[in-house]
Amino acid sequence: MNWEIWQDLLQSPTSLWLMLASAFTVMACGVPGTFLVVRRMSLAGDAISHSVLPGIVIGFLISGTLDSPWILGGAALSGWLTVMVIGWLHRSGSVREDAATGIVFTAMFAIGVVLLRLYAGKVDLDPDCVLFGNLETAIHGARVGVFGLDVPQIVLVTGGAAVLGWAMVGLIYHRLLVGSFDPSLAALTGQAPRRTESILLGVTALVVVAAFQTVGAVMSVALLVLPAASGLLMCRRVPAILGAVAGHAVISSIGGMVIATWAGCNLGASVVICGAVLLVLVWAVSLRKRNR
Amino acid sequence: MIDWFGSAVGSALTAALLLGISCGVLGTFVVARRMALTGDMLSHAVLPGVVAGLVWSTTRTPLVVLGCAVVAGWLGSVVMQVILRTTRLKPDAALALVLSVFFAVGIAMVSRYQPSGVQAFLFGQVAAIDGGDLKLLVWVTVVVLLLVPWGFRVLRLVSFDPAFARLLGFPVRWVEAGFFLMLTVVIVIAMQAVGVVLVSAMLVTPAAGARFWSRSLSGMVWVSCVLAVLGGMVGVWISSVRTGLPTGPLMALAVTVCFVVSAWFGPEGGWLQRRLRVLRERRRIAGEDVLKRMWHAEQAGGDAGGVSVRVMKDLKAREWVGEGGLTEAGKRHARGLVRAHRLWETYLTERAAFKPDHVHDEAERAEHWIDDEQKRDLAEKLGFPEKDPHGSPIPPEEGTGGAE
Repeated sequence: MNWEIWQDLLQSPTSLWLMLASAFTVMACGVPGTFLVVRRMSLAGDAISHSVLPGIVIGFLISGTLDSPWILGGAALSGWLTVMVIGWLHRSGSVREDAATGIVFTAMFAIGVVLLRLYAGKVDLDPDCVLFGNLETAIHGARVGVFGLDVPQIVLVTGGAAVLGWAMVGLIYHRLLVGSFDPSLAALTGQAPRRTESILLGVTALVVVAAFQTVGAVMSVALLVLPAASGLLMCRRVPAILGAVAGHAVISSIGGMVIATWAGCNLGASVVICGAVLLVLVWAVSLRKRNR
Repeated sequence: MIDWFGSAVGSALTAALLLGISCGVLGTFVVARRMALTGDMLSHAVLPGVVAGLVWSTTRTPLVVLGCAVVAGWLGSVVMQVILRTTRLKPDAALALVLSVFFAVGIAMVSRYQPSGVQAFLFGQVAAIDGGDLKLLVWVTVVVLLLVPWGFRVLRLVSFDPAFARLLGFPVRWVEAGFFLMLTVVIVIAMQAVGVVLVSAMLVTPAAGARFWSRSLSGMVWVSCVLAVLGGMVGVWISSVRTGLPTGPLMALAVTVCFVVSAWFGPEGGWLQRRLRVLRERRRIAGEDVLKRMWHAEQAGGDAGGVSVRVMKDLKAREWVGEGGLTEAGKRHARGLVRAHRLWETYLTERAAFKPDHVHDEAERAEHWIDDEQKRDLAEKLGFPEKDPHGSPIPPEEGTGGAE
């Protein structure tokens, strides 16, 4: 490893902002992702990450900008709708859950792409960005002054998503926990587990929207599952897992930046690859522990 | 014919036809084995292989790309097995992990090497399926069409009862490997038509729709082929009429429309059929309730009160009621209902420890569902009772005599 990479990284403010934005993104996704993984609902996360697309496009058509509440609302609505339709198809018989998921999220994604092309003139959303995000250009987008600091808007958006994720944990941690491991106890104690689940899915949709610009639809699934999976291999208790998620976010964003600079490839993909390397390391350690 | 294949729309339609057939056949097995999301995982996991193939063979030789893709897909499933065997992670998380990490590796390679022709694999572009791919597609379709009917029984046995298949001496592992190979090849070709995300739509949606038309696996294979071909060709057609709209998503949407139509109107558990059955049952129950009331009134020599015109029409259509009141068949049916009602009341009080004043409502519901065999069984179990808990006589079984 040569030190010039590090020097370049630390000296350019752009790369600092990039690292910050990706760390925020991983943190934002990791929190709802943890609960999705322990609830065995990772594939609902997969479905949501693809099906927020039509919501984003419609929100864009209504508002005209990429950062308006319409987009968040539209995305959350279409993500939630997808999960509801999957559940309904599955409950009404004849279609099993895996097939229902495959049918609904592909249909939503297709609607999104068609809308995107139909209104290509009006929607300033690159189709490339949908698949693999484009943090490198997003970072040069609009800037907002915060406390005299010229902060790229994307950093604020991902930061907001991270705050949202952790706020959800702070506010309804107990409900999330009980609902994840003992739904009948949650129901008995009047905690409305289905409402908790809806909140979790809604928050997932919102953080995925933020992740959409940084890593795109498919890799946001990685950000939902990777930190949680490596946390789950290291620790047994949910607070510890959440701590591991935060650590994972910091390490994988720095490592991702290094990989992206070193190999000259897409930053979002590098963050995911770095996260995967972390997971493999944790996995190796857990294997050794078990064999001892 | 040459011109047909030469023209863009012609070759796109041909590609849609061939793809529809192979996706329809394999998709049925994918859905029946609950592998829908495994198919999705495969379609993402082959991406690094596809990119490697494109980088390696700049002339885009289909076989090189395909070979690399198959290796990557195989690697993906191996990684998933390792995760499942050595960690606490559940299948859903393992699947999501493999899917997204392999995809990320593919994207990193795309952005690093920028190989030409990768766009078609990412976003789908039927026009990108050129002569070489089309030839390959023809071969694949022929192989699928030849192999699947030939190996249909074997594949079905291996799919649904692998242990039994192994016991019979079938090479289960080889059959599985062959199925996986064919699936990967079809996925890689389908990717070029509809894009990496929407392959699942071509594989899963027609097969899931076929479930509403047939219950047998062979029937589902046929229907799912028809749906996939129809959806694919309609998608190509719309996209060629309104140029500028991407073909892949349109194909996926057309297939989804086929699914929705099947789910509504399919004769095997479609929405309309289920709705009609509910309505029919409701009408039968309403009719039977009125029939019973009329029978009771006739027995007591009183008046049955008013009967709605619609129910009366229904009763006449069933020939339970004639011009002069209840017909013989109507009386027999009413006696059957009363017998079921009173037998069930007796059963509930004697065997299920219900209080006699709590059983009427239960029996009012159950009488419509207890058939002759069950009545005989109940009577036998209860020692052929003659009175119900309220002291009313239980009508005897038809054909054994007894009071009218």
